[in-house]
Amino acid sequence: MRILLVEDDIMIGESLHQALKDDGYSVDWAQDGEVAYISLQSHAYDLLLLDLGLPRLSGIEVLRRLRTRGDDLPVLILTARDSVDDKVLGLDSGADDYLVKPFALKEVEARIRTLLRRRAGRVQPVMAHGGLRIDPATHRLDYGDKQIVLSAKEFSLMRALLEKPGAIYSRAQLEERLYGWNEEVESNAVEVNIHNLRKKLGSDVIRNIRGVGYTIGECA
Amino acid sequence: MNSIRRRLITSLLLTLFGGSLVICLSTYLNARGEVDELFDNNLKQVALTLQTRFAATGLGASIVDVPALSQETAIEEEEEFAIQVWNVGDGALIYSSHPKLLLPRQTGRGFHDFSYEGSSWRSYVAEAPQNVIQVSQPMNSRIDMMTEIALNIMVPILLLMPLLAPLNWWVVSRSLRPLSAVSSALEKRTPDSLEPLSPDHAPQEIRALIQALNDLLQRLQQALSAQRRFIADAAHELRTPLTAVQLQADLLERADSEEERRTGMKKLKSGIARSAHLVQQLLTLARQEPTAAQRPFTSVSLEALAKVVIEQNLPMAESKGITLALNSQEAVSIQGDKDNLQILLGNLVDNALRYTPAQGSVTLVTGVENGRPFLAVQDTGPGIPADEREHVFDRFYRVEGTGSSGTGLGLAIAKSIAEQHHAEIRISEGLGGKGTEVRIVFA
Repeated sequence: MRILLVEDDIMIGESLHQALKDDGYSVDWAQDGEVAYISLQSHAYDLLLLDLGLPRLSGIEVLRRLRTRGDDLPVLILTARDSVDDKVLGLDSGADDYLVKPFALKEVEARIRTLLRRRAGRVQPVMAHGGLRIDPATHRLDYGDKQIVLSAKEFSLMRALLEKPGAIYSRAQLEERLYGWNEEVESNAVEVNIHNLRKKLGSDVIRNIRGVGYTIGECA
Repeated sequence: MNSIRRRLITSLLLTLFGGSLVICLSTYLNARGEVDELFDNNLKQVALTLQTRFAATGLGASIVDVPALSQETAIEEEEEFAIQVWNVGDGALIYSSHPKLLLPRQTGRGFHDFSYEGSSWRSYVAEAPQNVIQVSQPMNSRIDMMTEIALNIMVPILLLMPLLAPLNWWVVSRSLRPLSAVSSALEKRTPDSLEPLSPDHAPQEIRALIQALNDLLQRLQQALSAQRRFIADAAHELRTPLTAVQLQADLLERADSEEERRTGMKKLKSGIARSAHLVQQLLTLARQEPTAAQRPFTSVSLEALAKVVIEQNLPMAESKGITLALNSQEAVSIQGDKDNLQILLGNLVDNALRYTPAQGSVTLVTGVENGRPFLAVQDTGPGIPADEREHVFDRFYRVEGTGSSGTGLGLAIAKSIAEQHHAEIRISEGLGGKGTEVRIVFA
């Protein structure tokens, strides 16, 4: 899951960046509207966290351009503007949700999960496939009646693969979902994590389609 | 009690009364002159007529047969005269119109004033070839007439006074009615409804008052809405550091290693310090409000002030690797509020240190420019674009793209303290067109 965080305040940005990374998302952090818009054009994101009072290009303008382009990326506005008019403007400009500062980390995270769930067309908070059950809120993975402990990266990988069971993801696509801009991508990170997952869950859980990529297997 | 109405009524009545007195007095004096002249003319006329008669007949004794006009011992009527005729030859009194009145003979022609039995008399003496004619009249007659005239004038005026008093009261009250209209209109004003008073139908004098009140109301409204805007802005601005603190605390709660806890705690503390700094700046700004009580000005040496501020900011400068220096061109002192000036200069230096990159320098300059003392802070930072220079003094304004976590209040505070000292605050490029110079020029 790759999220673009647009926030000009360093302290808020740092904390959100840290928290979302810990949640297993890959996060890019833009500190002004221009950079945010350029990033949106050059990368595929699953979610946009958008502050409104931004230097260079306002958050509303970024949102309008995004929607004009026909992009259906889920957008959560995070702002200090609390008036009803501001909220209406934000939502009517194309935002999917609106959160007023100050907010608790838990709430942003819950709203992010909601938006991602809706985007994937799911209603159930828990993602399930065969005997696999994964809860994005608690990072808990159950296989059959066993609870399996996963690292953050392993969890991200499973979540990506379970997003659309049956879809095949290339190594590059999975890397995109695992790492943000400033993170050093370890050359064989995807392979290493998949190797570990297979060790924990069994080798047929993740299938390798030669020359194409990886997909979730039949998990009875 | 100090009342315009009472003062107006009293002074109007006093003026009226005094004026009437003056008119009465002058009319009386005038009348007295006229009466004197009239009576004197009558005296003279009678005497001269008699003189002509005697001169024509030439006789002295023949009039002795003419009966006396009156046997009274006093003259009662206004038009009554006492006539006496003496023979020039032997000086014998040959005729007296009032034989019981033994008026003394006056010597010489013309008017004479004399006393007879305790009362004043006036007479005219005319001389015929053989006779001396003396026509006399008591002054009483004149005084009676004058008194009568005076009373005729004064009585109506005195009678009018009690009638004029209520009329006066009514006129004054009526004239003061626009004032009470203004005060009842003012009573309706509240801090939420400060619309101006209508000057229509108001008399000219009140119109000036209404104009002044309207100006005051307008300034009051501006001050109040500035205050409300400031509070709204302040609340809005507090959201950002509070959000940071909230998130930092949430993260700290999740930390599961000692390392993470230490980092989280450090970040939380810096977030709290930032919120505290914003609150401090807001308080400082509120204290600079023009309505706030001002401390008396004392003599402040700009050089000493700069040294104190440099001392305070040295740790921050050293930690950022910035050279902080003083360039004292001329020792100069000004009259000012030392604590506020320290806040002003402190804010300028803090700003300069915040925006100047490492290895740069911040220099404080004190001296005299065209006879006016000045303080300047020069830095080697990125500078402020010319079109943003007038906005940097606005509250909560931050130059975009600097990535600094300032409160946006430092320069607003500096400006407000400069205004308190009637000083000019200017922003320009630093030395050699690089960086920024903020200069405070005192009057």
